[in-house]
Amino acid sequence: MKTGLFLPTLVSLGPYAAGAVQALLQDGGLTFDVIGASSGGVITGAFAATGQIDQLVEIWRSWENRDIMAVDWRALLRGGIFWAPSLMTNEPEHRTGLDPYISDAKLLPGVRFRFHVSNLSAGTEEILEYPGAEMPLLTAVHTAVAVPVLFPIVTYQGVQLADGAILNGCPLAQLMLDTDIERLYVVGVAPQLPLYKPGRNAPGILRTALEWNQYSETTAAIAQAHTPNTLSHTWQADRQAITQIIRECVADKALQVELLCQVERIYGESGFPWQRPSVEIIPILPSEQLDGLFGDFQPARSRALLDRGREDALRALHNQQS
Amino acid sequence: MKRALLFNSGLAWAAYQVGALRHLIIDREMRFDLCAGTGLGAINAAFVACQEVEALAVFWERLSWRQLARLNWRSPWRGGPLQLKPLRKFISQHITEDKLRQAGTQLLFNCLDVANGREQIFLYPGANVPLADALAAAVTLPGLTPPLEQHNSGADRPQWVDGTLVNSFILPTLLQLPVTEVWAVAATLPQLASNSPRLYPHWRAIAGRALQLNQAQDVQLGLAAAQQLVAAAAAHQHVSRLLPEQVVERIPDAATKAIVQQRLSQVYGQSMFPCLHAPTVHCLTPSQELTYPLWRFRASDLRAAQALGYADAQAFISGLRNSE
Repeated sequence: MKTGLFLPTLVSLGPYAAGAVQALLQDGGLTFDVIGASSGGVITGAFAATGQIDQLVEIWRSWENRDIMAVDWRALLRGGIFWAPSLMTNEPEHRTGLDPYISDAKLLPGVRFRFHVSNLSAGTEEILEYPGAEMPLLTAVHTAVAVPVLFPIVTYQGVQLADGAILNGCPLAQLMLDTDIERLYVVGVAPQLPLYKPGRNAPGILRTALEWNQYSETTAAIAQAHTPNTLSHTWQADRQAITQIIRECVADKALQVELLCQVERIYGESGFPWQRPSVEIIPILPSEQLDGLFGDFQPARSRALLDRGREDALRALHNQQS
Repeated sequence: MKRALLFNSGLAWAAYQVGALRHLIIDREMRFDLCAGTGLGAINAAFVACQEVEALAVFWERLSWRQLARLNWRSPWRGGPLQLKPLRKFISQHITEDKLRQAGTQLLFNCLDVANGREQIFLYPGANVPLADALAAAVTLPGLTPPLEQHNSGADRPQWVDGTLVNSFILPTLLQLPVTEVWAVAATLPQLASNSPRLYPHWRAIAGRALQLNQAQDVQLGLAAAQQLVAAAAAHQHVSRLLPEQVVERIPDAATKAIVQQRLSQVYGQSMFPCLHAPTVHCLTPSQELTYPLWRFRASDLRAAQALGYADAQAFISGLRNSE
């Protein structure tokens, strides 16, 4: 069975996804034919697509804020705070976590790794798939995590590119449409069961609202992916039922073949938008809201998230088997 | 036939919707059974639903931040530095559930409940929250203005804010309702990508561009979902029309033909496709890019956006008439 993995935007909860993916690969013995990702999920996806998930887990065990981001004083002083290209830089993240590990040459054979970036100049979405895309994989990963305002965006061949989550934080439906996967694991950080957690003050309300803005991308995408799945399943079931009726009721073999060809032609010309079987979607999401979607990167917190991701992935595998 | 009008969020670009309304409602005298929107689009939808389009046009003529909000001296830390009393007062002068009932129109809009992350859909007349309060909540920016908190709703009190944060274009919600036609006016980027790519030199310009693209993508994704449902419904109609004509009719034996026809009917009787609801969707978007930032309410910009909306609506309707 062709299996896919999708990693939506993770913000500062990347360790959760890394722990979950490590569990799927090692404890679950899974191999992924297609890995899709968006925004911060691209880092986890890149390490998984290059067979280095263990390396990523070790990186998360030691990474702190200063290893990921820093204030770009030079840019702020050069441009003044209102004219700088960004408020911070993620050059430390590139130097310590991406550049030494990610390259086209390290992609696992047989794995398709795809993600999207936002073309700010043209206002379009660019889907990059590896192997094969013209842009070097490392440059593309840098682009995918270039959160506008916070970090510098990437200029490639005269075009400004940035985090794909600007346009779509969880392009699940497109992944299902463009690939022939039959089962898709979605490892995200949106809570399955939201807690009642009212904001106590204006900054708290703003932070919580922004968290729900991020989480809703994942939950809405999973819900919306079920519509084409359900319709596709029903379409195929109806088609098979009609074929069966003709086989059972029409004794004349020559007429049977002629009628079945007519059925195929009519279905082929119908323009049904989802000409593929339905995809089994297995979400691996925390049962409760994880603290600090916009929190600090600290080793102790990352280790707890790694363990939590691992537990939830193992639970999902166990539920699937039973 | 149930006809719906839908506005996206749009922020200051929502002025474009008002220009389009002038042509659709005043010139063409179009009537809508359901008006829906998000953010400032919800305000525009409410005025249309209550047949207060002229008052809406005057509102946008004079619109400024002072018309919308004033400083929150009482509880700036708790709720935010601003409060929406001026806007709420203006809304309550023109928008009432009685007017909706008299007009025979429903109003639908969404908010985000910050307390539990759920999208709240309000449908009037009939929702159990005062209309003016809910509409003010629909344009409440979290962190800037206090959310709407319903104090008599039991242990889990909701905190409602602008639904743009979860869904700035609620076409998927409308697709689940029994509407046969949707007229959407989306104040967003033009459908066709620019031929002359621009560069954005600093973080403020980048932020503005990112927000524009985010809003535009919500519209495109909503329209794509609607198109796919329409295509699926059309595909089913194609198959269910041609199978009897071109398959069943070829069976020479009358008894076999009757059995096959009966069993085909059973398959379609149990299938979900005959119930699939796919309204016709017309979507009007700007023919050229609105050049002012989404957060700037400058009178000259708003007038230009309204003029563009009016011209685009004229061209859109003429185009539809010609193609018919």
